[in-house]
Amino acid sequence: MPTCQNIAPTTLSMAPYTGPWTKDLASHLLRRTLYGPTQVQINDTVALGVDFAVENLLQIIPSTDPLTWHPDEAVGAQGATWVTEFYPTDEALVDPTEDARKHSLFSWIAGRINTEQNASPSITEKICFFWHNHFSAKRSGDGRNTFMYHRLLDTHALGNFRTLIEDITVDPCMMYFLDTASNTKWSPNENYARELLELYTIGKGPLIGPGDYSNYTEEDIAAGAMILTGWKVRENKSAVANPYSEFDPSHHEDSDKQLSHHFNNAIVASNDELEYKDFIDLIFQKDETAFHISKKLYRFFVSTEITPEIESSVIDQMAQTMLANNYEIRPVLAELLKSEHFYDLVNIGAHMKSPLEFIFSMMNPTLTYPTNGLDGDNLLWKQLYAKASSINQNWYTPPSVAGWPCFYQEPAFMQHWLNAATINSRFWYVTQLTTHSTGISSDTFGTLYSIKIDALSFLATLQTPSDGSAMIDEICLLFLPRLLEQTKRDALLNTLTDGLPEFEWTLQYNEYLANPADVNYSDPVKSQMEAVLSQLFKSPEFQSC
Amino acid sequence: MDRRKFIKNLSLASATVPFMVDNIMAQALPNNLFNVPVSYEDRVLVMIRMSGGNDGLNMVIPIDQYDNLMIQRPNIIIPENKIIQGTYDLGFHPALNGISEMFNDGKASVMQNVGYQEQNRSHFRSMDIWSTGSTEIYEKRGWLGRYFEQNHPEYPDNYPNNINPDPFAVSMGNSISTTCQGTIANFSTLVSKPSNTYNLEESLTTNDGTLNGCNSSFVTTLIEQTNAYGLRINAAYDAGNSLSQYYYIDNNPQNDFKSKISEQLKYVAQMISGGMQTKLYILDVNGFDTHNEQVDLSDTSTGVHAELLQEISDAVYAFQNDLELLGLDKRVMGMTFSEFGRQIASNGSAGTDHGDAAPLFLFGKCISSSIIGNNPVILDEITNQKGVDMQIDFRDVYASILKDWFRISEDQITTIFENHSINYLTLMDGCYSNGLHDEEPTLIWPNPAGEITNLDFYTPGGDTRVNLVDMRGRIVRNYMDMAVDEGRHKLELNLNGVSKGIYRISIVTMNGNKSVSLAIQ
Repeated sequence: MPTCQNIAPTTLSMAPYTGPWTKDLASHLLRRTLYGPTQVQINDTVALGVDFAVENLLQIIPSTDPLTWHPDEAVGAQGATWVTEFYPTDEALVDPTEDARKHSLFSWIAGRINTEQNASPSITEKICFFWHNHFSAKRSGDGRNTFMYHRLLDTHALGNFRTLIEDITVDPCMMYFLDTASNTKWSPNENYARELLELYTIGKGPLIGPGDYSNYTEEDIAAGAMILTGWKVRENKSAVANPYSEFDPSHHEDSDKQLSHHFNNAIVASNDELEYKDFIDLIFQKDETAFHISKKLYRFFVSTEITPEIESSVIDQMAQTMLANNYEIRPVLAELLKSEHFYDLVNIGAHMKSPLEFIFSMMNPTLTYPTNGLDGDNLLWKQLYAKASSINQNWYTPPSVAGWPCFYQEPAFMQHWLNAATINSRFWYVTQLTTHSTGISSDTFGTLYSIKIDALSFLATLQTPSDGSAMIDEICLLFLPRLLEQTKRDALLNTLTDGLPEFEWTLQYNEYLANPADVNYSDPVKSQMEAVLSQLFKSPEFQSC
Repeated sequence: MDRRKFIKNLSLASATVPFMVDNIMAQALPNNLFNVPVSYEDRVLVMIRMSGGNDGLNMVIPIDQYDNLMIQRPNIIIPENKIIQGTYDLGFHPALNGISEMFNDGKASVMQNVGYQEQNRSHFRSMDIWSTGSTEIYEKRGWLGRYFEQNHPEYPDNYPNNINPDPFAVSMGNSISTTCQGTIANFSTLVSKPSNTYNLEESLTTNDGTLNGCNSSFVTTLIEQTNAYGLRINAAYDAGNSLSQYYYIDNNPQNDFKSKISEQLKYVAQMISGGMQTKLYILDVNGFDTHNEQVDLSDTSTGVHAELLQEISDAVYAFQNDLELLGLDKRVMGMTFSEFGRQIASNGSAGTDHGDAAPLFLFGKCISSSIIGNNPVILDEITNQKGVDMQIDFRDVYASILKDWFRISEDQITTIFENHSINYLTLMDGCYSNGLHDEEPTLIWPNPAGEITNLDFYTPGGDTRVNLVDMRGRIVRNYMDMAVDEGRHKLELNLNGVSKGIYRISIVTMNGNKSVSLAIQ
């Protein structure tokens, strides 16, 4: 088994890609920016050409607010949003309401990803997950905090990185997560200051001296903690207004703070509620900050395989673009996603699918989404969220402050998504969505809702469903990042025809078309197609994107 | 791996028990298939990772430093009257009633101030350092991954096979430990529930050397190994047993609370008793990053940190009890570890920030019940960000386990920790593996001693070493290092020139080690 390091990309060029704009390459672009592109989205992207396609993708589609659907919500009205509602005044209603809002947040995120299939292709959901992985704040007790944190990520997702860092620093959810909310001059808490430097902005380098991480020192962490003293969260539990953060000068250390030689021995003078911005400014004056976030964007959107050459060319260019644009994110991603390097063969299919990518790359391209009204849709989305959670992508509760190991833990990186337990679950979800009689279901509140792929409807959306061979090629192109080996492609065809000559499928399909309401004709077509999809989704190649 | 070949090669396949590969309904294998003689080959190490950075100063408490700890961490310090006394100057967190009892029974030891020079206070970098056993940033392989790789360079191709039918290592829970990461593959397989059976569709892929090809090949191997190892894990679990009543699990009527680590250790005991030849089990307990409210302010002996310690201590206690009831206690040892300790002074959020060194526990029948290393010295004035200084390098603990427990040659161990000069510690004790000589007393007089003392001891024969070992585990003097006859031997030990203090006389034999304490006045 050869190692993964021996094939280098042919091009490190960040010049715009000008070669043939094919379905394969358009699909590659969409697989990295969506959870599971549909045929319509792929065709539109091909038609637009690479330049317009990327510009189009780099538009944030603002999400609608999470809705109240869980019956335990005591304040908000069913079907309306609870995010601007106040906290229950009756103590007994607090826990049920928080629980209801938590479930609403769960279904909200899965619903956003699932309905991506109905919209113009946009990077929104992927880039929001990128930032959630970057900051990794855990869910707050008050659902409104959690919502505001995610709305903040939406708002700045393609905007200014410095502004995002400034806002996230005093975001209530983050302030609870890394203890800024309890950081006072009498006993400073280092938690946020450490991660601000180590993970969020400049990044840690090798330890080159006692407490010296190349780009900053332990003293900078201590100074950072002092700079951030005095910020409090006003919980606002009984008011209509949301919780908010507030500066309390009496808890703020107002002496000057000395930074290390990595920041040119700068002194951050006392500046009350603006002081943290002065500190952030100093961090953003260091080019390392642009380099660090560029490298993370590269891993997330291109490949985890970063050679010294990639670092000194591609990632360096990304950082230069970011600096030239005053830390705006959009121009960096535009350049990257249009570049020759992005479309290098080595980068195609180089990612392993996250659990959400895995689930929605089955559902979205097959146009599978719930249509059961407020309760049913949200219950099923909550189920899908829980499925992804149970195989280690627990949105709202990342495993650690560094996010998911798949994006940082060398050398296995994205292979961390898969192990004996998660591959088993993934295969079970495939079964549920394809050949299982019920599908993925939820029977909470007494009504059974379920969802699975409708193989017949999906077939109808394909170009030549009656031509078995052509149809198999078509779905391989839709679902897999690379051409499938001939023997495996033939095995799929064999499953479709059940070992019979190919014309038998054509015959069967045409008979079904002539008698669409007769289950004697539709059932065999349906079950053959389900078996094909099951086999395809359980192939190792489908785990990549 | 070619599974057909595997089944054919596997000696088990010739047994009367059918392996029904297609539906993976392997029946329970008869116990005697696994009744192999107890030897070093069968030894097992259980590692419990306390993720987040454990507050060592509230776990093993230096009682002689209590007044200064009161200055440093008044809001979180454990009330003195609640500390469980371990020795005259060292105590345990009250939640550690299980482990402290094991300590008193000679089944647990404390390694003080374990860490490395120039502590990195990043969770991620520091956990990498602990997992790789290397402070060099280019090292991506785990320390046990390097060990396994020395002997199995072809892995994962053609594994499992008839010589190595079981996983080398098992990660319990939901993610694989980087400790066993090799160059190409991770040597551990994941077990969440050993009763699970697997029948995953297998298919071939070719690897063109790109990341995509590599990932497909990784999935192909994972599926094959999940099926094949799953059979073995499942069979061992079915054949095995678990006897302790102390686990905190669902169906235990004695305990109403369910603990994940308890359940996982129970699975481990049952898999070992069922004949799994896996050498290493790794468990992970999260939640030690206690920046905030690590104690309940109304009673600092309770709270988040106390609950975590209680859960681990109770689970380890039940596990040890289980191993004893199963007669497996001489085959298994365990250790805890965390990426770093926490700062000496607490913060204002009733928590502690990232620090440096911390104590860890070793446990098992064969562990010398001792405290290796000194109590940390706590000053009477707060130094900003001060952590506990490192005294024992964590790689010395790993290396000593490889040497004393797995009997790996020093040459091989040196290759594993190539940028570190190893200082071997004496960790094992009192565990004659033939089981016949536990009743043979080791006599030492006078004790406390002055310049000379006498030793009367038993050896099963062969190479025998007698060492004077200090509380940091260092060999201060050697009195015997030669092949001798089986039976009792007498030695006069010259202590002239040795500083006053508490030491151990350690007797190291081919079949196990034994030690007794000696005070020099």
